[in-house]
Amino acid sequence: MQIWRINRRTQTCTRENVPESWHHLGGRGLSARILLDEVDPTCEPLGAKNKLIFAPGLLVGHMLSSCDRISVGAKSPLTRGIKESNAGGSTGLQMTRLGIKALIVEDDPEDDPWRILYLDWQGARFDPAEEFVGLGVYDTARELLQRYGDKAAMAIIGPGGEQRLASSGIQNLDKDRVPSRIAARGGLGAVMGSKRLKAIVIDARDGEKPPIVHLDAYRQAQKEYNTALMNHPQTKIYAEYGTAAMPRMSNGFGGLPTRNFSMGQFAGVEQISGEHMRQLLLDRGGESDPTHACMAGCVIRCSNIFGGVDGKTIVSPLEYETIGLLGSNLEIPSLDTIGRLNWEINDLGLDTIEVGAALGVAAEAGLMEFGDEERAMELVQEIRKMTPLGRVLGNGAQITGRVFGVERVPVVKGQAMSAYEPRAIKGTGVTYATSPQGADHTAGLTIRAKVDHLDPSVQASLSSKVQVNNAGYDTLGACAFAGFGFAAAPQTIRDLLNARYDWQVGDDILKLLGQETIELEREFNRRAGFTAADDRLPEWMTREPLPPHNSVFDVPEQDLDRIFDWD
Amino acid sequence: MIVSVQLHTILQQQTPEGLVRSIEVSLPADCTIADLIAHLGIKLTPDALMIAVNGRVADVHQRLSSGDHINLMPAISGG
Repeated sequence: MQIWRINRRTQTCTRENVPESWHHLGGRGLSARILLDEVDPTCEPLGAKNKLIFAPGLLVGHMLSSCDRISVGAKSPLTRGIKESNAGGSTGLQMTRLGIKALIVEDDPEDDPWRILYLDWQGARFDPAEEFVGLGVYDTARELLQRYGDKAAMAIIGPGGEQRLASSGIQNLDKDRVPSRIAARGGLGAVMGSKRLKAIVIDARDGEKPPIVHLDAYRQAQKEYNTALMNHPQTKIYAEYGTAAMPRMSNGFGGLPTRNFSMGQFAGVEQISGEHMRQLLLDRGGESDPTHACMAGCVIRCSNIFGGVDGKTIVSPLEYETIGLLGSNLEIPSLDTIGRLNWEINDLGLDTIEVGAALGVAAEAGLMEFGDEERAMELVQEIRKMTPLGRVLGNGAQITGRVFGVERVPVVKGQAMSAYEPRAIKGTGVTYATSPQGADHTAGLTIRAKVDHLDPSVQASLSSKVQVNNAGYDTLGACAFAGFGFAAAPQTIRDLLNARYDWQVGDDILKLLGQETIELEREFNRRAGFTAADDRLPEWMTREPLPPHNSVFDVPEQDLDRIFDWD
Repeated sequence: MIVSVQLHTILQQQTPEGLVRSIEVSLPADCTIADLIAHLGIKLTPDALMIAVNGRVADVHQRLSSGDHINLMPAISGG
């Protein structure tokens, strides 16, 4: 495996040996290492000194179920700190087939026009891309598949990334070539836009799978892991209901963000529930499917294809966070409407969580009535038209709140919270507050722990554990849901790595990788100027009680400050 | 006493009545969650269940009162 370094100014690609200290890392940990080693943490995120990193996780390359994720990293234009955002789909797998351990895109394009960065076994080519500028993600993917063939993987930005909106992400093709697996959080689409790259195309037809040193041992560990995954009851629930099983669960705990994070339960929750969605999709038939894999070989298949009454796809996938932030958060009780908003936001190449949160703040400011589905779509079209209002909304919830003078803005480190209310699920509140990523639920969700989610005294240690685990999974390239399989058969992480790389790691490898990743990220943020004051929820959440429990966020500050003191 | 119960995902198909999403249940006074689960015919064992009573995490031994809102969810360890 090699490091592929793309210089955008000199239009060169150099393939380098992997430095010693990068060897044992992949995915999020590797991205953090590279950013700390090579990027000035005080740099301008959309400037020449920032770098865009694509790093497949350590286990990526062999269609190990649910373990082919790609991590994308840079300094974030949204949080102004370190950012990693990962995605499923085919990008990670195909990059490893070209022998890429990490792709680093650096420097300033200067006067060079927009390009498609085309990668194959020979190296890199900068193809013309002017005809794609301004084009939505879905049309771009269709055109690029025609031009480069349908075996290629792709990372694409939409008009949002081109226009450097801080809510923009990078879309990847799923295994069915739908460009909807988004590395969404933190504005990485804008970083790619600042390098004037419309898409990265990975053509690995002449590539080969990365080597496995001890094949028999690998297959044995793979079998154990697969068995654990298939036997876990949660796997079937994800296959049948997907992440959309969450609305009624969060609602049951009084933690479903509703009406711009002012309530924890939504009267219309039944109509946006996973149970309702499943029935709808089964009844509608056609292209609808409640069970769908985004990565080839995934046995969990948590994704879905959400179709309308006419049998045609509205959007794929339709996920919990989107249902929360564009549904209950806006008091919109219609999956069809949420699905259509999702498609528009995907096509613009934006993060549905950030845009949903911005719309909630906009509603608070009087720009729309809560529940007004047409008006919500109009505001998304403002973003498409790139009007000043659209640009404000497209830059996320915090900017929208500042411009319109709203205090109830649900962000940490400038990034919007996802669909878990931190005043009702306090452990996730601790994660939001303390994660180097900003308010990020995938960094450490706590809702499934059997603790009293309202008790402030037990949350910090819980969040610490899940943050370390998830940082570990992100470094392995494992989907969060693969965690069920790994938790039931933890020895397989050690065994898979040792068999593949001829290492001798122990049972604690997940923890070690996770801790190292978080330490690297915290150091980057420290050098970027972050302090303990940034590891806090917004002040209003410590003061304003959330119905139905009428709770405030009251985890003690000293608990937040000590959460990463693991020695 | 009467309690209202929300069943989640696969539990909706586990009652003898077929697909049930939410249900009002009449129980003798002093019943616990365990009694409720037995009454509903839920097949999952207690540690495979996540239980919320009036929005707060509860275990199977919790006593119920009239008017309680209960959520029964399949639990997942890890992740």
